[in-house]
This record gives sequence, C-alpha cells and structure tokens, in this order.
Amino acid sequence: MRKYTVPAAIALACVALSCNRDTPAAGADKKKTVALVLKTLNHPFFVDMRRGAQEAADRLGVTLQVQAAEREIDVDKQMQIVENMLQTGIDALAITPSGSREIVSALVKAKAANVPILIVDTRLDPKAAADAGITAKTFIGSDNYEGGKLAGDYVIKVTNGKARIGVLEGIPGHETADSRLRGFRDAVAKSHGITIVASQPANWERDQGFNVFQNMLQAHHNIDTVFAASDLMALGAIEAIAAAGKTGTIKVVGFDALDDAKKAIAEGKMEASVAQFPYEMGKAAVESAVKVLAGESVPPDIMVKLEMITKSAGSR
Amino acid sequence: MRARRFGTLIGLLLLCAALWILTPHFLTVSNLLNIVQQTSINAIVAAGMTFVIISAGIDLSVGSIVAWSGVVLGAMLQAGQPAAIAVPAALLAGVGCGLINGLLVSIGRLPPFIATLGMMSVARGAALVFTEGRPVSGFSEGFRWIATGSLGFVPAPVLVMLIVYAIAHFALTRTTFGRYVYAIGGNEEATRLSGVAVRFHKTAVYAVSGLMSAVAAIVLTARLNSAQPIAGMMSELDAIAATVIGGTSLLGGEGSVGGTLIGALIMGVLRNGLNLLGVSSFLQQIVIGVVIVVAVLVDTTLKRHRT
Amino acid sequence: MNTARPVLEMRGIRKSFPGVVALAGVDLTLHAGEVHMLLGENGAGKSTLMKILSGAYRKDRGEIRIHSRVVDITSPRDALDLGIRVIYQELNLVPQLSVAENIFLGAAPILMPGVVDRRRLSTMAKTLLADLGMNLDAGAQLAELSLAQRQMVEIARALRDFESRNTGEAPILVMDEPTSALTAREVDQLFVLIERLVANGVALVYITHRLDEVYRIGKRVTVLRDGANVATKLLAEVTVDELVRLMANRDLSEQYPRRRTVPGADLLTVEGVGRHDVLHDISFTLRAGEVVGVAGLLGAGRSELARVLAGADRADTGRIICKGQPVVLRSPADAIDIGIGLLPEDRKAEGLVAGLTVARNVALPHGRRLSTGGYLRDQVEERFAAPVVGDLRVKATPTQEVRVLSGGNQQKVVLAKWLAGAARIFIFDEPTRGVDVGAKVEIYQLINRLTEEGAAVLMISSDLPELLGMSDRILVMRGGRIQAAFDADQATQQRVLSAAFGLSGVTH
Repeated sequence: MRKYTVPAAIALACVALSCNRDTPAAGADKKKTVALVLKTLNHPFFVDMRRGAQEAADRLGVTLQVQAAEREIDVDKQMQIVENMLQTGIDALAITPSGSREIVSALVKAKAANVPILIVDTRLDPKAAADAGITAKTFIGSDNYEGGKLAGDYVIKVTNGKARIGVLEGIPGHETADSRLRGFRDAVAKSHGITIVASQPANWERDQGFNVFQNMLQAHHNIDTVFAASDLMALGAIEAIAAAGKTGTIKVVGFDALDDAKKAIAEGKMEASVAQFPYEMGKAAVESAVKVLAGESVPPDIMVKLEMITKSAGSR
Repeated sequence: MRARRFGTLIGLLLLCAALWILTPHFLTVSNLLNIVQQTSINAIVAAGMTFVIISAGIDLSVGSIVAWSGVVLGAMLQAGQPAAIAVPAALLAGVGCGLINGLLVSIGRLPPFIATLGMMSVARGAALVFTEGRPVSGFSEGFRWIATGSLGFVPAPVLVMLIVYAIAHFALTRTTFGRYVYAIGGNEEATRLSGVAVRFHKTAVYAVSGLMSAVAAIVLTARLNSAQPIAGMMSELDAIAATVIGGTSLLGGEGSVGGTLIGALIMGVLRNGLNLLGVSSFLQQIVIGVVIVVAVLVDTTLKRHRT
Repeated sequence: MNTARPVLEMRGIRKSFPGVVALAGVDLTLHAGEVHMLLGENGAGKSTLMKILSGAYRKDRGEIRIHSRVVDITSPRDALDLGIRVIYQELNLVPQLSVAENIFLGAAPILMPGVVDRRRLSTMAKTLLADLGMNLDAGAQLAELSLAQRQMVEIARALRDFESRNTGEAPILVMDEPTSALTAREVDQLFVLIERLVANGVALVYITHRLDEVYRIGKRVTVLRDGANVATKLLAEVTVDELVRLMANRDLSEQYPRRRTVPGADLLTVEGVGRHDVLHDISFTLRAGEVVGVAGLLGAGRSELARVLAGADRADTGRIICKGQPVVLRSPADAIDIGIGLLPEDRKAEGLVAGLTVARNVALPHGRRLSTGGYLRDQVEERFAAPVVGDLRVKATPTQEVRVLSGGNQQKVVLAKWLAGAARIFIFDEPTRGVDVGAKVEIYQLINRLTEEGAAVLMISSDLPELLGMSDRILVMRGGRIQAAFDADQATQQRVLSAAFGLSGVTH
C-alpha cells in the first residue's frame, strides 16, 4: 500500500502539469519557435517585454516560448532553463541575461545547437563572450548609461545646477545598475553646484528603498534631490519622504517609468522618471529573430528610445 | 525504510514515464544528461543535509555557506593561486562554518534552527563584505573542467555528485559514525547513556554539511565561471525538500542518502519537465510546492499508522 | 450535611491492562465533610482508581454512585460535570498567565466576546482568595510563585469550578501526594486550608506516602494492596504499625528464585557521594556475586543514584573506587569502561533507540570495539548480537526494529546491550516494571546467573516483595540519603517501609 502513495503524489503533479501545458510546439505546421528567456516575470518591466514579444509573434506567425527564473538574480536557474529549452528544438533564443558573464556557459550550448542568440536589455560581458567564441546576432536595448546621463542632465536643468543629492543604487556589480549610476554621475559632475552627499544600494527593492532613504535623511537633513536607479526604489523613497513630512520639498527622479511612478509624477509626488520601452524591446527582439531566421541581416545594436517622463511632458 | 525508498523510486519512474508521454524532448540522452547535471549541485548540498536531518537537526545555513566558500575559492583563483590550493581552502571555509554550527548546537545547546539561522546570515554577510557585493570571475580552463569536462559520457559535476554519494552512503551504512548519527537522531539520551560521544558526533554532522556545501560551491563556481556572493539563496529549502521527498524523517533517526538522491532527481526532473512543457515559472512553484507537501504528508501518515 | 448518605460510592471496580490486573474489584465510600486517606504501596492501584474516578481511564466493571445516582464517567469532562476535581502532582496551570487568569481559565468574565473584563476578573479572584484565606496576589504571574503557592491556585480554581456549578451538592476533591514538594510550613498552611474546605462540606480523597500526615488530617483510611481492598477503618481505631502491616503484608512466595552465593571481592565502593540537592553522603560497597537492593519512595533519590553511577550525571562530592582504584565518571563512556551497565527506569526514553534494529541497539555501546578504524558492517553487529539475543530468548531477530517489540522483550534488549560487553556491575532501575509475570521470572533467573558468574547487581525497585526476595542486602533511601541498611535475613517489609517513611532509622 505505502509503495503507491508517493507515485500518487507525482501523478497528481503530472495532471496539474499536463493541464497547464501550452499549445504543443511539435506541430505539423512547421511554425518556427522563438524562445524568450527573461530574468524574472515578477517585475512589470519584463511583463511588458513579454507582451511586446507576444504581439510581434502573433503578427509574424511564429510560436513564442517565454520562460523565466523565479528570482531575478538566479543565474543558475536561468542557465538550466536555456539548457532545457534547447532540448525542445527552439529555432532562436532571445535572452535578458541575469549574469553578464555567467550566462555565457549556457549560450555555448546554444551555439553548439546552431541556435542564433539575441541579447535583450542587459549586455553580455564582452571578454567572457569573446573567450567563449559567442557572438550575439544583435543587442536590443536602451543604453542604460545614456539613461543615467539623461536623468543627470534633467536634474541640472530643474535645480539650476544647485542640488544636494542622495542616490539609491541597484544591486552592486549588476551591469544595468552600474551603467545607470555611471551615466548619472558623469552628467552631474559637469555642474559644480551639485554634490552627491550619499549613495547607497537598495537592491532594486521598494521596501529597501524606503529604509535606506529614511536612514539617509536621518544622516543628511538637507538632501533636496533623490536619484533612484529604478522606480521601485524611488517609490520607496517617496514613502520615506512622506513619513518624514517632507512631501514636495524633495525632488525624486527615478528610472523605468512604471505605472505607479507615472501616477506619482501626475500627483506631484515625484519629479520625473526615465522611460525605457520594454514593450518595444520585446517586439524588436521577436522581429529581429524572425529576420535572422529568414537569413536577413540585422544591425549589431538596436537601440530603443529613452524618454524623460515629467508632469509637463506627460505620459506617452 | 526500504519499502519507502522503493516507493520514491517508483514515483520518479512514473514521473519520467508521464513526461515521456507528454513531450518527445524528454527521453533523449542529452536531456537526461542535462537533468543529472542540473541536479548535481542541489543533490550535493542535500547529501550533507541528510546527515543533519537524520541526527534530528536542521541546517538553514547551507546556501550561505555555498556563497561563502565560493567567494573564498573565487578570490584565491583570481589572485593566481592554483586550484590545488584554492579548492582545499574553499573546503576548509565550508567545514569551518559547519564546525561553528556544530559547536553552537552541541556545546552551546542552541536549537539547530537558531544556530544555523544565525550562520545563514553571518556567512552571507561575510561573502558580501569580502567581495563588496560583486561577483568574482576569470578562472582557468583547468579549473572549469569541474563543470564543463566529462569522463567518458559522464559530465564532471555528475561524477563529483556520484563520488559524494558513494562516500556518504558508505559513511552512513558502514561506519560507526553513521550508526551514531541514526542513534542520536532516534534517541539522543539513550545514545549518550550507551557511552557514545554525542557532542562530538553532533558537531561532526554539521561539519559534514558545511563540507558538502563547499563541494557544491566548487561545482557551482566552475559552472557559472564566477563566484557570486548572492549564490545559493534559498537553496537550503531545495536541499531540505530533496531530503524529505527522499524519505528522511524531519523527526530524525531514519532516512538514507539514496532516498535523498532520488528526491533531488524528482525535483530536477520536475523542473526540467515543466521547462520543456513551457509551464510558467509561477505554476512551476505551485507544482513543486504540492509535491513537497504531499511527500511529507505521506511520510507522517505512514508514521502514524506504524505506531 | 447528611453524613448518612455518602457523596461517592465506588463498588467492585475492576480494571486490567494488557497482562496486568490493576484493580480486582475495589470499593471506596466517601462522605461529605471527611478527609479520606487512600494508602498503598506503589502499584497497589490508588492512582488507577482515581484515574477512573476522574475519567482518565474507563473501568472494566463495577458501579459508581454519586449522591446515590448511578453515573457513567466516560471522559474527564463527565467527571468535571459531576463535581469531581483532581489536583495532580504535575499541576495543570499556565505559567505565563496571572493567578486570577489561571483561576478563571476558560470562565473569565467578559466585556464582549473575546475581550476579558480584567477589572471584574481581578475583584472576583481577590474575593475568592480572601474567602479561602489564601495570602496570594491575584495579579502575580504564576511563573513567579512557589510550588506550594501554585498548588493553592490549583485548589482555588477547583473551588471556583464547584461554585459556578452551584448545585448545592458536596463536591469531591482528590489530592494525589500534594505535600511531596512542600516545606513543613507550607504543609501546615495546606492543612489549614484543607480543614476549612472540609468544614464547608467538601469530600476529600487524600493519597499520600507520609504516614504522619495520615493521622494529622485523616478521618478514615482505605488501604489497597495488589489492586484489592485490604481494609477501611476509622483512623482512631488503627495504629501505625497495623497500617504498615496492612499495606505490605504478603507472603513471600516462590516467585523469587534467588540463589545466594558467597560474596567475592569488592567491585565498587562508593564513599560519601553527593550531588547538590538530590543525593547526600551515599556510601556502600558492591561485592562480586551479590545483589544489593535499593528501596525508597518516589523522589527518594534512587534513580538519581543510578544515574550518577552510570556516569549520566556527575557527583559533586565523594569518591567512587573500582578494583582499588579511585575513578572519575565524567560521562557514560567512563562508566562503561569500568564495566558498569545501566538498565534505566524509563527504557523507551533512556535505554533504547526505538527506530533502530535489535542488533544496532545491542552494538551501540560497543562500536569502537566492533569496528576496524570506524568501518562497521551490519553483519558484524548482527553476529555480535545474535548469541546474546538468543541466550536471553528475546522474541525477535537481530534485524527487527526495536519499536515493534513487547515491553519485556525491549527490556531484554537493554540487558543484552550490557551482557554483550564486559559489564561486571549492573544497575537495574525498576527492571520488572511494566513486564509480564513470565518475563519477570526470566529477569530474576538472569540476575542469579549474573551473580553466579561473579557480577554484582544494584537493584532499584518499588516492588517490595521483589526487593526482599531477590536482594542479599537492602539499602533504604529517603530524601537523597541512605536511611537504613538491612541484611536479607533481617529485612522485613515492615522494617523497610518504616525506614522509607522515615519512621525509624537503623544504619549499619
């Protein structure tokens, strides 16, 4: 009797799994399959990207397979997903690497299977890629360094070159985080009236944004401007400002132009946010993949526009 | 105990059969090799966890020890030390953390949950401080063989896993140490009154777990070609899950590494299958959660019926 | 109150457990306003009788009448509804709550559902405590109180319960050794309280091992022995000596097949051993070929002595000498090294690893000797265990898990652990408790064999006839000390019991 209880549990899982199965890829219609491997799906940015990709896939008549790790930082899981998807005979692989260097080992297997690689949003580490002999067909993304600069220039403009800034950084060592930060610093360095009084990581998270900025305010009462490398951290900072009763006296500039951030900008609680267009990225990724599969050439870099969202400029 | 392990094995085979029916991509040599390779890291950590759980303890710090040993290894390799020095250093780093856990439990009489919860935070923090939060990378091809190489058709990580399991199985079934681990987990006071050095062996159990975490860290670092201070987050839960699915009782005193290996494979096959079928990561979490809970439910129900 | 009509009548109560008849038709009659003493040796059936009364056990046969009505008590709830409260030795209170909250646990006055009216709770508790003459702070946290004070809270709670029932019928209160952990002054306070309760019509059953208390507060006494009534008398009509005889009197039958041998060399000498509060100045010698029995009441320090000799607990003072050499027992391993083996009182908690096989349990203390450099195969353990398991006629194979074995067989496995090794000194702590009659005789025969082969046995037992029947000498412990020592030919149940109760002290 006891022998069969565990198998019963497994069988249950199998039933659950077969119910939730997507349309089978192995069809007689010979539709090409494009895989899109994201960092995670619990962030609006990547959800938007999937929507864009799906729109393009439906329009162009290819099958889209989207997979993501449970957590944004889990490179090992992402590598496993790539390996497993290669087994299903995908025709092209578009990926937002969770680790610029680490993911290369998995891409080597894609190359061995003659699956073209397209990189989205986060660049590969050039040296690691070169060492492994990996060349992506294209990079689709917006330039995070340029985005950081855009934010820096905007801060100079609205403060007339006089500001005391607190910075909320992303996860240290993260390519995206580093680029945004460098762009911002390079831009504000031009203006002598601007000082960055504090700069601390809040690891992309809203509640950490709240805590870190609350502590920052304790240490530096005269901070008048915040730059957060992502809107989630910016939104956390806005709550910390409200808790300190300083709403409206501190300018908050974020990144990503999330819906919540746009709302905060409209309500005057937030100054501005750098808009990336993940929907466009997803769309461009599938469009480029289809071109590659058709033997057409694609440019090595496809830059998706960046935009400053402010109250006066309005949302897109 | 044996019947139970047999049952888990049937569970694994049924799962494989189901996937074989559901997708043509499952039962291929390359996919099966992928699965064992992907399972190897969790399986190695879970082998150490099995020792701890059989002794009626728990080790929540394994994921953090993976990160800590990994960055020690990475830093030494990057500084130009040969693998022959860096690898033992990493193992030592892992054993050290395990020893501290063990002493806190045996001499300090802390509940294992608390002692290892503390270590979970301390080792993670140490890894982050040591690397300033950045990954360490740039290793020689020779070192990376541990992840990319193979012996015949057996990939190197799988080879490491098999060696670890052979030793662990031997230790648990053919040595006095193994006997004492089961006895301590079954009835610590009776074991003490039988003249067994209970404190020593309890400490050793956590050291073994730390060692296994360090071995896993070596494989992981080679696989990622990078040592990440954020590596292994939540992997303690995967290791506990593999152990428990494999029939080891959280109450201690019974279990086997063979069962744990099957448990780890069930989780690996499940994840792989869900990927192949294109099931979203959210649904994957639900399915895996259900399997864990049902496996433990079965375990406790069986126990109730027996006593 | 009408004393002619009893509050409680128990008639012909029978109760048996697998292999044991605990009660073989016991009667007990209780009147309002009396303190009824219930006496008997350990295992005479007092606790079983009271557990049946309180609904913890169900009787097999017999009749219970309360206020002349036949009642059927099937659960503790039934007993509470009938106005029966038992104050157990281990108190049923919540240490984290206050005195008032404990007294009104589950019946606290409320402001609205889920919200306790703390002010009313406090006044009600204060009133009740004052009525009972208890000098207790209603707001104090229970954990801060002494054991005696907690007992008062428990009594107050029982009375609160009676009051809230408000039937006008006399309630029944049972106290099971309430003074075992109290100081002399606390005992005085308790007795004042008991007198007050009885004056208010409570019917009280009082179980004790202290004969002095029996005369201080008791009115009548019922003596049980081997699950049967021996006598029920007015205390004014019975002497202490008679009581002791009534409790103990039993023929020493042939069921104790002790074959005495001439004692050999000293194996173990204990000199002035003490351990903070539990053992004081213990001295005796164990010689090859002899059985030394240790008698005493619960809490007299017998098991504590066993644990010190087995290396489980450390002695603070004194010396232990083995074969002429002083030894220090830091751990059980040290004790095993000099040949001491312990059969603990609670074999499930301390003697066996239930989930392991018979062979592994037997081999557990001998791992170092059986292995070669830590390498140890199942077959080696099984071959090691098989002869002794067969010798002891354990009804199990070496590969069976111990948990499935009967009590007697489990006990034999614990024995096998030490027999398989080089043990020369055996400490048996209640070796026959929970063991059926057949297995008991086997254990006695084994004791004979051990002593014939030159081993020494220290046997702790609450079964007096067994102790008298099997020992060459008897030590009687009380309050952590050796109160008296007797040679076998001088020991009688009466003398041993008197010493155990502290009524006399004859030290050799």
